[in-house]
Amino acid sequence: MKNLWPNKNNKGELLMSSKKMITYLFTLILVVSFSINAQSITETKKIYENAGITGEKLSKVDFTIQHLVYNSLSSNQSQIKESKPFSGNSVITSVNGKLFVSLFIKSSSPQQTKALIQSVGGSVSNIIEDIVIADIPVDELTNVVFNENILEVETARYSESFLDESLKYINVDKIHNGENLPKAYKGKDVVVGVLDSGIDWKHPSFSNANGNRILYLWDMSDDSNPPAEFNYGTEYTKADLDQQNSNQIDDDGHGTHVASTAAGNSSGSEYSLDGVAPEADIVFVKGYRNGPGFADTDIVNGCDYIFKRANQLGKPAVINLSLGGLYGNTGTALYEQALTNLVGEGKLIVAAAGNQGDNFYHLQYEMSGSSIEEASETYWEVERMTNEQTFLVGYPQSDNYTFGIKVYSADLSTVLYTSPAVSFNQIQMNVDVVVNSNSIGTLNMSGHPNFVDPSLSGEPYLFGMQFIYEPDADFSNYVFSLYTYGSSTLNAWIINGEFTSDSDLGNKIFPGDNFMTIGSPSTAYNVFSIGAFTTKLSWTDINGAPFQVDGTITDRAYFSSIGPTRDGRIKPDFSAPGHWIAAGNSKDANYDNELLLNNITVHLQGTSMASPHFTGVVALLLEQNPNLTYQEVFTILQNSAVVDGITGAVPNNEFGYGRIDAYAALQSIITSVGDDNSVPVEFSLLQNYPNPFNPSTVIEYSIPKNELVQIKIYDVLGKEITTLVNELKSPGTYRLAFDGNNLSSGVYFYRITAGSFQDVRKMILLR
Amino acid sequence: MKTKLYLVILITLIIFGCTSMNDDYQNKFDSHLRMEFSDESKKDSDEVIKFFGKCNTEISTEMRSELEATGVSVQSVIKDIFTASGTRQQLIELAKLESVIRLEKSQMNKPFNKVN
Repeated sequence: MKNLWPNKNNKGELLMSSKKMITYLFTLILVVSFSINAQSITETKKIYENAGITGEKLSKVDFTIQHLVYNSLSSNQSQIKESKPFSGNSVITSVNGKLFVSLFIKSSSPQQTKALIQSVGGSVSNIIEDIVIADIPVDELTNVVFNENILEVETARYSESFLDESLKYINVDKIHNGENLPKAYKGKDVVVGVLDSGIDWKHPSFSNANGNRILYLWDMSDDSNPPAEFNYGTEYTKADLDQQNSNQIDDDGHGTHVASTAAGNSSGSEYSLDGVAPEADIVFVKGYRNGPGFADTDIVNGCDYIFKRANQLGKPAVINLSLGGLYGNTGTALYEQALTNLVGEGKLIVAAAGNQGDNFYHLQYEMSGSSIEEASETYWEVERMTNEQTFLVGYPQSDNYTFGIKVYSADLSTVLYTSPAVSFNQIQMNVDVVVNSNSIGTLNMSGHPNFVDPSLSGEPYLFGMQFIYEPDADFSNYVFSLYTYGSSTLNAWIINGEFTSDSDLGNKIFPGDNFMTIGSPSTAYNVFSIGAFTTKLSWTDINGAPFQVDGTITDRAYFSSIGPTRDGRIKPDFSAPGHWIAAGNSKDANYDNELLLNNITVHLQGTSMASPHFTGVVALLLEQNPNLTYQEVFTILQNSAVVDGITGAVPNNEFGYGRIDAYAALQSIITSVGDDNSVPVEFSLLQNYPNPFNPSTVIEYSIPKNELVQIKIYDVLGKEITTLVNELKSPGTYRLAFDGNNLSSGVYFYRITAGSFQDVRKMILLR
Repeated sequence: MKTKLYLVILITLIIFGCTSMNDDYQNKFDSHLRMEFSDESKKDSDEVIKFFGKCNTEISTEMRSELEATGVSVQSVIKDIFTASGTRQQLIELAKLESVIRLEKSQMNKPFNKVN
């Protein structure tokens, strides 16, 4: 049999591959189940023969169809019902009480087959070369599938599409099952905070036997009842939601998907899926106020709110931010500093790294020349969509710079417009961009010092350009360029536009690139930056149509942003599943059918989907130890991450420290930090691991009785660097993380003093 | 004649002094606020601007009151950083406070799902 499964690459274009093994497996199951009817093979054969259906004809159709045909001919008919969207089920749907089966039909004459199907009351949803995708009335099946034009027929099936498909790639399923663990961990007594587009709070993923699992919901878009600490929005409590007293909706769908990935559960509906932390408490902030998009002041206020509510509940919290912007940030913007300031013990923030890994949003080159005739250029295109303007932000490393823009004809043969040139400490506002006597937009350009926070590093120079489009301007006839001259290394980013790959270095035409495309706020210090890897490439949609994309399971998702940050830090920090993920579908959203698994589950992709996987994993770790800090979680996940031939050597700017392994991470802390039940028989200080390290390592020690323990770090000259422990400890084995982030490479010593016991060991920081 | 000359010098000094003062507070603005305040067409706008501010120390209750006395609405206070909103004139007054060392305009973020 030839392949009947039309597949799609990651752009949605159709390809072909096979799922025969799955089909045969389910066929076998069906055959076994059909035999329960106690019809002998001989009797079955007679029924077919009486209807003129030969073995040759039957061989064209799969066993499900054979069963349906047999059932229609048999005097002892079983009742065919609408199928449930469970993995492996044929897609049989009921429309106005009439049953339809979804089929893939290979035909020598697709158009004639289409006409035939329509003549019996069926419908054709697509024809892909010689394959017809159709819904056929079950009682008309025989009249269609045995037509002379039909070469082969298969039923469409619901595919395995549960969130646990991604969970198994980070070993969360083992944690939920409590494999070799003291208990099953599901995020109990931990707050998972999410700030996003909104949430379908009635979705079954967010309820359990005790009612709604969302303890607080702040809707920033509705100013009728603000939280006590703020003066806008409306706050709902669990009691409000249990009483169905909220008009907050998620008509985007993003927030519902993200929240259910991190903390959804499967107890509310047979179709619901378990997220990573299905027993966590949820505090949600709807950050959309006037349409799609989040103001970063709202993001900070929302995180502040979530931590305040978690504090009132007396629980640790981890916040997910599946959002961001691309401005070439270095963690020094006040927005980023505010988030960094919020992070603390049992208060953690996770952010998506961004989806610009396949976009040319960045450029870097050495500026040269002293006039526009000697200028370097990079072409760029407007990303119109819903945007009204394009921004360019440049960070030259000296004040010897000049910039502006040009507008070319589409074939680059003619310069249609050249803007004024702007240098350091100059500004040009409301410049009319006139092309062929028509205004196509307005330019604001500014070159000025870049504020350098006294407490932080930073570059002292900056330029910005804002191009506000005329609403009716047609940009398809133009190519834009950024021109510069001067003497400096330039890094620049474009927002709501994209640089082109055009390169002609001889004529000083420099291409854009996809490096340094990590979005903020994942560039903030002490905020986890999460990239995406692939865990799923195919499924059958709600209509029974197959969907397949190109890719390699466990490889970096093609879109996942690439580091480093502008200040050279490796990003993302870690990678988690994000390509493609089936999770909660908001009833108020409107996704294409091909993305829907059923009415409450939809497939989405993005680092937006990777980030909540990581968030959920952090919640599982906080369930074990609610006092974990950013650095401790980082070290735990770093030491347990999966590194293989696909990730390459880590850390790197595509996977960070690798793909997270939640199970290994949790196991590592269950056997540490006072959780080791056996009392050590003697004092000990073990060798740190890893060693050499960069920048963090773990130090393990044991004490057999209550003792005041002091552990200090010294440099090679004997100068004290820091005190890691200075408190009374009960008997046990302890591990603690040491971060050498602020230290230079070299040999260091760590010394323990516990009563009369003293020991010292050497460790090496290698940068 | 001398009196006129002194008057001219005095006026010139006042003008330069005012310009210098303007420059001082604008030095606390980020790129977006600089553009905002350089746009003459928005000079009389009472549009409310969302922004971040940073102070030279951790913000106490008294300092918050001082910030709010300029007319801006302060939302979150997180150590030495605050989120707030206010009009252009209120931002100018805020920027003149010695304790305020930095003001950055709030930017929009997008959800990070990948749409084909």
